[in-house]
Amino acid sequence: MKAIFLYNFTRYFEWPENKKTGNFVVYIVGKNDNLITELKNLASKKKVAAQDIEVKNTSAFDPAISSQIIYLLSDVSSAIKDAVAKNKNKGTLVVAENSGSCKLGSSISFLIIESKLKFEYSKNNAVKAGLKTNDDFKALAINVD
Amino acid sequence: MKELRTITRNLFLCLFSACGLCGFAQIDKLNRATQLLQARTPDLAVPVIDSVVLHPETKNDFVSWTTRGYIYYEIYKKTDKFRLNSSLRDTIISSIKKSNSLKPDEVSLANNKRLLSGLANQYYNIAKVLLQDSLNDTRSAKAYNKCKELSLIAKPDTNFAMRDVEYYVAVGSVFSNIFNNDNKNTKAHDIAKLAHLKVFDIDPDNAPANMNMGLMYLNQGINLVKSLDYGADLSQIDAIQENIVKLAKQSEQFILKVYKKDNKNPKAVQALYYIYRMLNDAAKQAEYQKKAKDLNIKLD
Repeated sequence: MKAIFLYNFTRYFEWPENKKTGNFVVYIVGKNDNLITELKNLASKKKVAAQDIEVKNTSAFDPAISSQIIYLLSDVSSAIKDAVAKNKNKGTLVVAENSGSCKLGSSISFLIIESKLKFEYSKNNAVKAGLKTNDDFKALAINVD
Repeated sequence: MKELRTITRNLFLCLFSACGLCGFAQIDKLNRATQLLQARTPDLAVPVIDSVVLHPETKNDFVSWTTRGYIYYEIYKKTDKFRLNSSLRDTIISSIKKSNSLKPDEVSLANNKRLLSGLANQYYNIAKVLLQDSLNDTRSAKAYNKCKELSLIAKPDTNFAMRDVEYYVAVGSVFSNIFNNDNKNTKAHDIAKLAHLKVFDIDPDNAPANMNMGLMYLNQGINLVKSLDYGADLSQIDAIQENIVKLAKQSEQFILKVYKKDNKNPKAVQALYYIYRMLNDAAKQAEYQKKAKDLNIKLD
């Protein structure tokens, strides 16, 4: 389910020109084998605009990895602030698995409401990250700004 | 062989005790029919016994009717034992019913019961064969109801609870498997659900029935997840999540019953892991993931 959400997020943001070439990198930080498998499966079938999707995964945050999306799993939640700071204005959508992470600077964080997967959204944080946003997205999210 | 000898000896005893009631010519014929039965030539005995039960002097003699039932049974068991519809079986049953209506003595009554019980068991076997080999629930149910009908005639105080559970769990298992392999087969779903509900009326905690019901809901949920296209719209995903959660919660109530009875049941542990994964309950998902690991149960 999270893989579908992550892919869907790509429809609602515009990345800077330098991120519109090459592969569309989805960088997963932390351990979740199921998600990685699912994302790799997705990457083999879908594209973001004309870009191929590439999935990268490390167990700890690596600032040297350039990506369009960083998804921080719950086991690396302490790295959120660092990831946000290092990607400020670089056109990277920072998504966190833990709810409440928008307060720490992520643009999106997941949360569970009545057993359903939902997401919080901070347009301010997305703008700070150097992304152009789409207001339609606000209607689908729990807005925290 | 031994059984046939015992039955024919009993029939002879009844036959001679009935001598005072009937004409000697008909008694001779009945005697002849019994001898032919004993000689394992039931085909030759049929016209003889049919004329005996039609004759005014012996048509109300329970021994004649019981003998007729056994003669037809000898033919039936060679040709019609596994047929749902059998005129031979119908003749046996009507002959035994007629005998029972003529207030038979203890020996004939016992013979009648034995024959009806045997036929009831054969109907049960037919019900199972029709279910497992032909997947024909309607014909299987017909056979099972016939089994119950005959059992009640043979023994009016028969308690069917255990057999009902056994039969309906079998029906539920067969059709839930069909549904799990093809979620579009709603007929199989409905048959399985109805069968399981009959089981729950008798035994609400029945483990196989709870497991089957739980797995039907779980598989529907899993298939919904699998059916989600990566490109599905977020609003569409929300509606699908709603259904997934409903199905997972329905599944949970059945699987938990199985788990409470046996917390090492691999299928239950595995199912609960997937249920809590679908319910986005990370803590419980981790709990059952650990249990699965401890029990060497493979997930994913």
